[in-house]
Amino acid sequence: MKLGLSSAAAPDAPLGELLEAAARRGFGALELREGDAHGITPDADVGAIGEAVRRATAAGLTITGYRTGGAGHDLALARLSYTLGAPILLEGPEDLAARIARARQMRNAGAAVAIVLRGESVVQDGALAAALSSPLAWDADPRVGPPGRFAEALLRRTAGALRHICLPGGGPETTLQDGMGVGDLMRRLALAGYEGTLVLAPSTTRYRLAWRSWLGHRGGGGCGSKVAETPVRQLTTLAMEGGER
Amino acid sequence: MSELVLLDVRSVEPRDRFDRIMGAYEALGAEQTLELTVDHDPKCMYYTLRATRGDDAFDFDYLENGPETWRVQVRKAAAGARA
Amino acid sequence: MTAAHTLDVRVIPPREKHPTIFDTFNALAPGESFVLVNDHDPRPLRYQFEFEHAGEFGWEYLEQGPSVWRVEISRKAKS
Repeated sequence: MKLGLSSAAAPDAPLGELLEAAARRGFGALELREGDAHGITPDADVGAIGEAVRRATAAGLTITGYRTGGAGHDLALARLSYTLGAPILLEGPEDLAARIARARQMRNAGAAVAIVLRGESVVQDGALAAALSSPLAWDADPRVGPPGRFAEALLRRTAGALRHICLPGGGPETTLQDGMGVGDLMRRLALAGYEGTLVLAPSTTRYRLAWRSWLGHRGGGGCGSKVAETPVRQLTTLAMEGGER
Repeated sequence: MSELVLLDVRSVEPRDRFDRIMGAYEALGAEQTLELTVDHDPKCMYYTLRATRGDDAFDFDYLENGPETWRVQVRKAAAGARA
Repeated sequence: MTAAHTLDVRVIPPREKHPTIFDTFNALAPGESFVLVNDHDPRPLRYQFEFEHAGEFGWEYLEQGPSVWRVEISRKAKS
């Protein structure tokens, strides 16, 4: 299992800053979300995308997915997936059957695609069954309920197709997630031999300030400084009180 | 009367807690008691002190035993005080 | 070939961390192991294993920082 960071944790960071922050915090994987400031877009120049991959590798990171939901750009997304060497993590359309169909079309165009499942219960549903035989990403949400059992059921039913899990929280939010079943999730993933990625992202934009500081955004860190000295609870309180723009 | 040295590590990042706690323990004077507040059972610190300082080198008393907060008082045993 | 059991504890809240580690260890069959991944050297954990599972565990560092520590913790048969 590889622990990763979503660019959603640093949506304003250009690629270099994002790579540096992820490497400093010991992440092995990086998930790029369309719209964040890293500069990788479906229409980006192939050379620029290749350069991004090279820089990530040099920083000890693997780009493990490109998350997008919006309509359009499907051919460009296919090309992006190929150049990045990473799957498109497809969040849309909202309707699961339509999402499956879109993924199939993108695969026909040469893209690697993982459909993002979010909150769908593991039921004997035709569309879901079709999804379960394709590469999958799953967004856990510990606030809704303990994610462990659902993850284990997904792993069992998909026999290895589940390769991307996004866990809202972790990072500076770790100490706040007591009792939400994160430990249980990690234990079940370990015992199931899960070998995909687990990517962290802020659970809400209200924690943006806490994440910026935790990642050592300029002013909060610097070479050799112990960003860790920043009291997490204070930052989180600030964020909760609307202390960030 | 023992002077209390308060250390609340709940706001300290996990990876820095060990050094903070051991540093505070090392700095204790004979008349001082370290009162440690943690968000998990600090028995691993108890085991660490036992393993690295010896069974008889310290006292470790729980004032509060969860379920959300743990407080322990740690003192260095007085030299020669143990029978 | 069996998949590695990787337990990354960096995302686990402090109160759940050690219980999760020991629950994972206790779920192993003798001879099996898991890899613990942490952002600091888990020395206190090792002492806890030594007191609570003396002679029943193996502890091998696979990586020792500066950002990531990996320890392979194995379950031995009770002797």
